Amino acid sequence: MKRVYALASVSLASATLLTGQGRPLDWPFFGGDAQRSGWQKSDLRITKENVKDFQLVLKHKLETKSGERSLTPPVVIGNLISYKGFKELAFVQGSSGHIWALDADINRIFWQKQLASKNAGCPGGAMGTPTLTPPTNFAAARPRPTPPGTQSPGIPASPAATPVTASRPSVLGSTSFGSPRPAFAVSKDGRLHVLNTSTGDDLLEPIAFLPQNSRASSLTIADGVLYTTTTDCSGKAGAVWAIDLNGEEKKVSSYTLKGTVPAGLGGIAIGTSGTIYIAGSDGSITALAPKVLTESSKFAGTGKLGSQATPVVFTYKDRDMIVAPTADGRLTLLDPKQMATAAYQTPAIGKIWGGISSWLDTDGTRWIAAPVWGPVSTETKFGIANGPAANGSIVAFKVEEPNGLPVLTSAWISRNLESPEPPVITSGVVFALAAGRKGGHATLYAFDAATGNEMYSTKDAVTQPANLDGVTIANGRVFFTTVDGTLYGFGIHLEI
Amino acid sequence: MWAALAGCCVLVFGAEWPTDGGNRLRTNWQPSETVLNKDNVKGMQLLWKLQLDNQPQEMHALFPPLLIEGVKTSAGVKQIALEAGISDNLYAIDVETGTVLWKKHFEYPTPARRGRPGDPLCPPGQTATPVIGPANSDGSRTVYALSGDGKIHSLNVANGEDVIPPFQFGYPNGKSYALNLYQDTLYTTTSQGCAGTPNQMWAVKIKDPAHKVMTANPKSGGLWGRTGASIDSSGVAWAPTGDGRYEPANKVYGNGLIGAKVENGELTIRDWYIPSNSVWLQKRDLDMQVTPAIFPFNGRELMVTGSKECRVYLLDTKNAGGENHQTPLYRTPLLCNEEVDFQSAGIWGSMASWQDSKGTRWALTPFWGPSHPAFKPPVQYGKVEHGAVVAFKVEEKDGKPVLNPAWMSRDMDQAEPPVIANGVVFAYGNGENTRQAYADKGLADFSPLRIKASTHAVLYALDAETGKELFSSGDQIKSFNHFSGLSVANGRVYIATFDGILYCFGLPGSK
Repeated sequence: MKRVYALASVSLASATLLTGQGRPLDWPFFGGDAQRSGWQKSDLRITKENVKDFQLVLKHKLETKSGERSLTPPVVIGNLISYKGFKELAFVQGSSGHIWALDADINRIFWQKQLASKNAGCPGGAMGTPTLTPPTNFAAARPRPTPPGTQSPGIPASPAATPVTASRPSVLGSTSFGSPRPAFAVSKDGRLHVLNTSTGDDLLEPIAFLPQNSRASSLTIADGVLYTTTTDCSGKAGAVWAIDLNGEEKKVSSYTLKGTVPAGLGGIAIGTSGTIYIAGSDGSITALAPKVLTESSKFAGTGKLGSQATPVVFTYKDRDMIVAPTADGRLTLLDPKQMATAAYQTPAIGKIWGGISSWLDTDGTRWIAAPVWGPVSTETKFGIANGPAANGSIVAFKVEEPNGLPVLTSAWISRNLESPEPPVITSGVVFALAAGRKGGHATLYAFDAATGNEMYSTKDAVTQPANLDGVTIANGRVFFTTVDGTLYGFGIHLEI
Repeated sequence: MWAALAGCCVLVFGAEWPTDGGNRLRTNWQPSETVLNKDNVKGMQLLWKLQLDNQPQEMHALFPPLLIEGVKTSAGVKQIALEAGISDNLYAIDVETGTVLWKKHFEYPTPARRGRPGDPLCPPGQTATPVIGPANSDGSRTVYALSGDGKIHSLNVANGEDVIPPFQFGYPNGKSYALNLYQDTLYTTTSQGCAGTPNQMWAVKIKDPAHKVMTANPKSGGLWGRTGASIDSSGVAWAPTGDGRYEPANKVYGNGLIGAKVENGELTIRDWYIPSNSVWLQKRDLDMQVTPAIFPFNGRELMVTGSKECRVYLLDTKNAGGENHQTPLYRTPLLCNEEVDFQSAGIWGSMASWQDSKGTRWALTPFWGPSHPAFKPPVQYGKVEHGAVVAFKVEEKDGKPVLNPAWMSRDMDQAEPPVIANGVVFAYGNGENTRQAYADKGLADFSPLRIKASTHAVLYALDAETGKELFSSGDQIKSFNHFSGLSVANGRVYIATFDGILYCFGLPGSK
């Protein structure tokens, strides 16, 4: 009897939380995380072997204004337990002022709403990519029982399955499994909307956050503080903004950039200590204290306005490191503890655009990838080239220490890409979107992350150029939007 | 005299309902009904109702009564309803008078472990409908009941006294499902890991002096088919596995159906069926959780099951799912659940099957929620918003058995597994609030919320060939029920509710 029970007492309390393809994944911010890595660390549905089988799995034309930045890329909740069931939802904001929640599996609008705005804002594109509260924690596994007949009086009663709950502001929702998770978006008048992800309803009266007549970059939440950057309608003045959601006051802080504007799509990147890093188009990198946004250190720019990419932060040997572009087309490696001086700079690469990505491969090698518009400088040579790349490419570097100090070692350059966007990475595959802005159409490519070898391409499946605002990857699918207001998803077919 | 009377009753009645679902095949078919028919069922009335002192636990209260006749009691030969209650009660009720003949309350120290208070998934206490064994050599009958401390009680149906000492068959408060009996072996299933209990199929031989507990674990979220396992003619017990992954190499059989058999002193998984879209089912929490109904058809033994996704699968018990275990004989289109909801939609509970006088084999399923707009059966009765029963004819097409939809019933508030008797389908809407998630709260599956929002059950009688409504209990039933069911025998239809009342409907004058 005891033997049988011992064999049988395998607790499977977590069985309902894991799909056959792993735990549902979120993509809550531009770049997937506050560090802007672009790396989806555990998408088990995608492998190097099956990426060749990618297909169009979602195409949805949304009623927004066509044109530059007609739609943001989606942010994704891998599993929302809504009042209408378990949903994987993709949230997209449009230049029309709408926000949509789409069921990403069945290509159906779950809800949509027009964000109320007190004025028309800047002409042109959508406000910043919405954001979601960070992923939930899951309830602790239940303890195993004592076999019948052997209960000891000293055995404590079964716990009340109390979810693991971290202390955080109520506006962000609980961390317990199945709790509501709000979405955050900014309307054209600069007010912050806190939305019920199940219904789209405003959970709070919209909060005055950003100045009117400004354009916001992607929204990001860390430690209960929501951050973004703005430029004015003319694109000549920029600032970093924070709103503290931890208290009732919802205090807003800001930092005004001097002589420069935020570079790249992500706005800011956040270090593991909470430090905010803002890259200026002059190549400067400024470190700001979390929440209050006071300047703590700075890497000076060149004075020339040319940098167009958000930096990436990554952990290297237990410390944060930053990679950012310079105004003259190099990559700078920075140690946040010695911000004034570059730890390393590459030779000239080219016009680095949008953002930098980073991932760790299974061998423990830290990689950096960047999109380059136009030809790559002859100053930088790559061990692996994948054909001519006159119009643009993805370039990849390894972080190595040949002489005891970290450097960026060039590794590979991709095939030719027209207007590439910052890549996203999972399972040893780099996904790069060529936006096709020069009269062409967008094309999504999959490259071997170790070599840049092309493994898949959407070829002519997309007929319009992509919006220049980023790529999303979650749960076996890669999403992007096009200028005609269409959301595309390519990925592994899921039988429904 | 008693013998003569008993013989008379056998001749007049002759029907029993000794286990949940009516038989070990879980067909929910009462083939021996002769009193009620499609012509007279419209005259059915409430014959009696009996308030029992069973205390509900979470949303559970009373289970479908077991029905047995010709029981020699100290008060004479009786037709008895054995009504099990969640609070470890078992009542023997004289169905002629609607009075309690005896009551057994299973006593034991409060277990150290139980489910989270307020969680409908894991109520403490007796959760399994008991089962009545065949006649013993002396003509007596034994009922086997699984109390909340995980012990099997073997009681004389006539007086509630122990026939043999209780023996262990599970963990305390482990949420077992309806007991089934095949030859000398009792079966049950467990789910949701209640009080830390493994989710698995269980078996024990009654006559084994050691009462060795045998288990088969599919490593899934729970085998929560309403009526536990159904058992085919070869002794293979079939049960749905609930949520979970499918990894056959690791013997992980989530979101499917397993068939296990006792061999060489062990309960071994012999076969399984996993829908080809099981990843989708798991992603959306559309569990395979419907106890199959097993029936003969054209020389084969088939079974039907379903899931919250709202499809019905037709399988062969000799080779469920074919070589790859993922190819059913037939799969219906979606009957409901266009919204892809995990809570108030889809097929829940168990299936039903019967054969009419012309030899046509029927399969029936209940479902919750609105019918799917693309599902258009040839006969239907108005818009279905809250649930319905769908009847299929099992037929052959191109040499393969298929399910051809025949009719869809009227709207029912959360339709539950139907019971068929003498050309009449008895069905009911349970009136239960089944909401587990809310727009403002997210997942908040909390018994008090659901109990407060529940209404009342309604019993219906339908023409089994057309689905036409023949009878409705209207507002006569005052409360809802949760994870219960119907029982039918000898002109009486029984339904029990959350408030502890057992209702008996039948023809006036048949009392």
